[in-house]
Amino acid sequence: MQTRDIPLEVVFEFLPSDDPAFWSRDHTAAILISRKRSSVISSVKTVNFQSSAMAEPEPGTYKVAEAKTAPFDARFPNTNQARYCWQGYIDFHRCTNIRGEDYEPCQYFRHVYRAMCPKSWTEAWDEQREGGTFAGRV
Amino acid sequence: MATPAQLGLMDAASPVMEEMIYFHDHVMLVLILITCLIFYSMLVLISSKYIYRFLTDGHVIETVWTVIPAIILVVVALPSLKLLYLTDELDNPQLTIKSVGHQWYWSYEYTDYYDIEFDSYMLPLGDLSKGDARLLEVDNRVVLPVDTSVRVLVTAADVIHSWTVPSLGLKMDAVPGRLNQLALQCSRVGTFYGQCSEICGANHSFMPIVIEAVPVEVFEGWCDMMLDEESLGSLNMKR
Repeated sequence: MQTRDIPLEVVFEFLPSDDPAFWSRDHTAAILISRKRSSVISSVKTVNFQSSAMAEPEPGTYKVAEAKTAPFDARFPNTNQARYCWQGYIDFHRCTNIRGEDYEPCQYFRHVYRAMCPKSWTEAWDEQREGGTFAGRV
Repeated sequence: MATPAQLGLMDAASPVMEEMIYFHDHVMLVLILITCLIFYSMLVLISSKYIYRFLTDGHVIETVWTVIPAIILVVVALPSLKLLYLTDELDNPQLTIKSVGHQWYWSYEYTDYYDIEFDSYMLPLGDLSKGDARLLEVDNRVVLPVDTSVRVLVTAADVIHSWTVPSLGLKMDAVPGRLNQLALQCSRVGTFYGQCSEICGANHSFMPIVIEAVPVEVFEGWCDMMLDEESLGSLNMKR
């Protein structure tokens, strides 16, 4: 599915911002010209990502996930972030085992491992935990 | 994307790539100056009919032509190291996506706020529209918001691949068991192409990467569409 399938009213509802933060950046008006919608020119509105609609979590999701991805962790400064993913997964399950499933602060670790870990990895680990063959100490 | 008979680098679409182009121009200038100096010296020496009687024990000139190259090396090394560390900097990412290499396609996961995942296969020749790039177009592009710091985690499911987008200055090996982190920031809207850059089997040349940088609202609309069960079902896409 390509963005050219998105309705026009969503794509072209842009206005230059009055927000000084917008003009303080080195912006030139981005020209949005599509092959399929020729001669349409608009300017890009810089939206604070955290105030966008995506910040509103869907019902049933955890509140900690408000418009923030897993932050930089100084314990894992290098290119390979596999350990960060692993540590988030381990920490979440340790936290819920000790504090219970409903303990809200545990959701931070869930958010970290959901952001960092490929689904295939977490699904494999979930199966291993259910089968009692998981290598980590949770 | 690259144009036919292109010699130089592609136009930059990220701040890091802009800096790489400046560095490339800087080093190219140094190299051209040195080359011109050498050729000129050779020309003059060869075409001269005189012989220099005091050729040996030239202590001053030997000192000069040791110190000056050392200075030239420092002039090249300082911006090089600065750029090297700049490419590693991750500027408080707002979005994390995962790029998993398979034989022979890429799959992408946006599991930060939503649960979006899809495969990205190269479009075969028969499926290309007029004006599409051969061997570069894919069925599902990586859609990202413009001017947003994105963390890309690159890994592989089988053999080593490499996730590359030259106009953004990105290249990272996709190694099974590793999660290699890349900092991505598109400065402008547009479509940016790349190809797998590590030999991975028969169809190594046929698993391209396409990034479509769009305004934030368009990205949100795209996310809503990806999450909509009905529209996905009609497109046979894996969620």
